[in-house]
Parts: sequence; structure tokens; C-alpha cells
Amino acid sequence: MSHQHSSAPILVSTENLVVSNNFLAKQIPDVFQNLNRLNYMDVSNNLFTGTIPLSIFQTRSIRILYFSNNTLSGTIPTEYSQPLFLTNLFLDGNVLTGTVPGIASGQLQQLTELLLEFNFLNGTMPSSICSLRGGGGMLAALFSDCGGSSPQIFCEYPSCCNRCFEGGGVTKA
Amino acid sequence: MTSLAFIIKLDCSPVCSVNRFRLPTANNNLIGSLPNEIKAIELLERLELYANTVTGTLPTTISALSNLILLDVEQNLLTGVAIPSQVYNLTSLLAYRASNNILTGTIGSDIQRLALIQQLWLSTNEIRGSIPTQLAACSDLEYLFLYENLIVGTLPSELGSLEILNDLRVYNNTLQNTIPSELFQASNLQSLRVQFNFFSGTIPTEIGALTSLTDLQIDSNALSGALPSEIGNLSLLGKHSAGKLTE
Repeated sequence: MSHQHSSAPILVSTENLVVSNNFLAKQIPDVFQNLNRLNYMDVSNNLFTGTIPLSIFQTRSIRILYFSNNTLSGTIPTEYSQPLFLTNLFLDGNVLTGTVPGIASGQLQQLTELLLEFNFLNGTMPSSICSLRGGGGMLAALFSDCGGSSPQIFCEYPSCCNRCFEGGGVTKA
Repeated sequence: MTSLAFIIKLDCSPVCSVNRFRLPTANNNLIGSLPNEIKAIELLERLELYANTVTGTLPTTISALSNLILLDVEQNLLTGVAIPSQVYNLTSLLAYRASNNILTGTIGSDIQRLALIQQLWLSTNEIRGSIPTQLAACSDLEYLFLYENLIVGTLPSELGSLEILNDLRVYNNTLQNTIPSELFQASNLQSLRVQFNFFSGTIPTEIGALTSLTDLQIDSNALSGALPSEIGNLSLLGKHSAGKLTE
């Protein structure tokens, strides 16, 4: 028999926010810092522009993030490695530039899918991400623009990236 | 094969004192249509035939079940009109669950006669026509499930007056026009699923008023404009307390 008592109010927060497959445009508002129970956000297949909102990576409960197929620009924020329970991060089909930030050990341990293809990312896939494949993590799908004769991003296939696309604005089939 | 008539009679005789009849679920032997003898159980408050293989239409004699508060025929093979006139006569009904059948017809303006209804589950059928504005007269409505039907027309702005509406699911229909801003006056709304329709226009900024909303699925429509920054308000402190003293 247990006694439980608390006068503290429960934080109520949105768990699912799904607005994909519309014609939504402009910047995704950077207002997610208080959505502390959000675990699934899908804004894919819209006309969103601007940068990836940083506050989404402050929602510690986030598990699934789909940003695919918009016109998001700028870089992948280094904060992307903060959510402990992130399993799916889809950034494919945007106009992101810069390099893929490395992560610290112990981060993104639950990540199973990281989709980065069809962007303008360059550099080399960090070894800290590659190590999530195989023994160091759960990463089953790591896709990037690492294909073609002059790959945009260097990523060893198939030990690190297990699908390589020819990026550079090539339309996805 | 066991007939429904036999089972219902068995539970009722010699004295019809049963106020709840619940058919065991997923028993494939229980095939058949609802017997007209059903009217014998006048004290019946709960008729639960969930997940069986009941065929045919709801018997007209069901309207004699004047004390019925729960009519659960979900997940069967019922045909005919989704809300036949005899159901509109069941004015004590708190819950009508008829999802997952093969029901047709429209939701009539008579729906307002079910003045106490809290749960109206009609999803996954072949219901046509539009959502009647008279639904707004059912002021106790908490769960409105109309998803996966052939419903056309608009989402009535009048539904915004349903103060305790908790869960509104109209996804997978052919609804069009805007998501009315008045809808977001239904301040108890926790789940709003309107995906896979033809809604156009913008997402109303009034959405920020729904501080209890935990599930917003408005994907696969033709919505345009910006995602309102008010969605960041969907996390305000709720009015609930974390639990009463329990032992």
C-alpha cells in the first residue's frame, strides 16, 4: 500500500505533432523548448524554408523527427546529438550545407535511422557517427550523398554509410 | 452454431433482471443477426456485442431498451444505416459504438436527440453525407470518431462549442474547406486528428489556446501558410493535479 501525494501540477505537453504533406511554408517557428513530452514531430513534405529550429533538440522526450523534403537551409546544429531517446532523424531532401557534426561518446545511442541524402553537405562523416553502426550503437540506416565519381561527402560504404546517393541537387527518384 | 437469440434469452430467463449483456468477444461461432427478442430485456443498460460476427441490421425493437446507456456493436458485420431511427429513440444513451462494420447512410440532424451522448464511435464504415451542425447540441460529447468513412463537406465550426470534447477524429474522409478557428474554443481537446482530407487554408493561430492538446495530426491535406508560433503554447501547465491522496 503506498501513499502518493503531490500538489505539483502535471506538465501537459503535445506528444504528436504531425503536419506533413501540406503546403506549409516560411520558417518553422523555434518554439519547442516547452513541449517536454513531444516525442514525434513530422513536418516533412512541405515548403518550409529557413533553418532547423534549435529548440526541438531541447525537448528531451523527442524520439522521431522528420524534416524531409522541404527547403531547409543552414547547417546541422551541433545540438542534434542532445536528445537521449532520438531514434529517427530525417533531414533528407533539403538544402543543408556544412559538415555533419561529430558527437560525444554515449550520445545518440538509440538512433536507428539518420537520413542526410539530397542536401549540400560536405566533408567527411565523423567517425563518432560511423561507430554508431555495428557495435557502438543501434544505427541501422545511415544515408548520405556519398555516391558518384566525386562524392559530396566522404563516407565509407557500406561499413559506415549503407546507402550512398549522388547528391548536389539531384532529384530523388 | 449458437444463435444470439438463444444466448440473450438464456441470460434473461426466468426473470429479466439482467442489466448488462456482454457477448464473449471474438467467438466465431456466434454468427447471426440480432434477434427481435432483444426487446425482452427492458432493464438492459449495457449491450456489448463487441468483436463478433453479428450480421444484418440493428432490430427495430431495440428502441424498447429505454434504459440503455451503452450500445457497443463495434467490429462486427452489421449492415444498413449507421444510426437507424430506433437508435435516435435511445435517449438514455451515453455511448454508441458502431465502428468497424459495413454501415452506410448519413448522420442525421436527429443526432441532437441523443442529448446525453458522450461517445459516438462510427469510424471505419461507409457513412456518407456531411457532419451535421446539430452535433453541437450534444453538449456532453467527449469522443467523436468519424474516421475512415466517405463523409464530405466541412468540419462545422459549431463543434467548437463542445466544451468537454476530448478526442476528435475525422481522418480519412473527403472533408474540405478550412479547419475552422472556432474549433479551438473546445478547450478540453486533447487529440485532434483530421489528416488525409482536403482541408485548405491556414492553421489558425487560435490553436495556441488548446493547452491540453497532446496529439495534433493534420497531415496530408492542402494546408498552406506558416506553422503558427502558438504551437509552442501547447505545453502550458495543465489544470490537473498530479493525483489525489490514494491508499
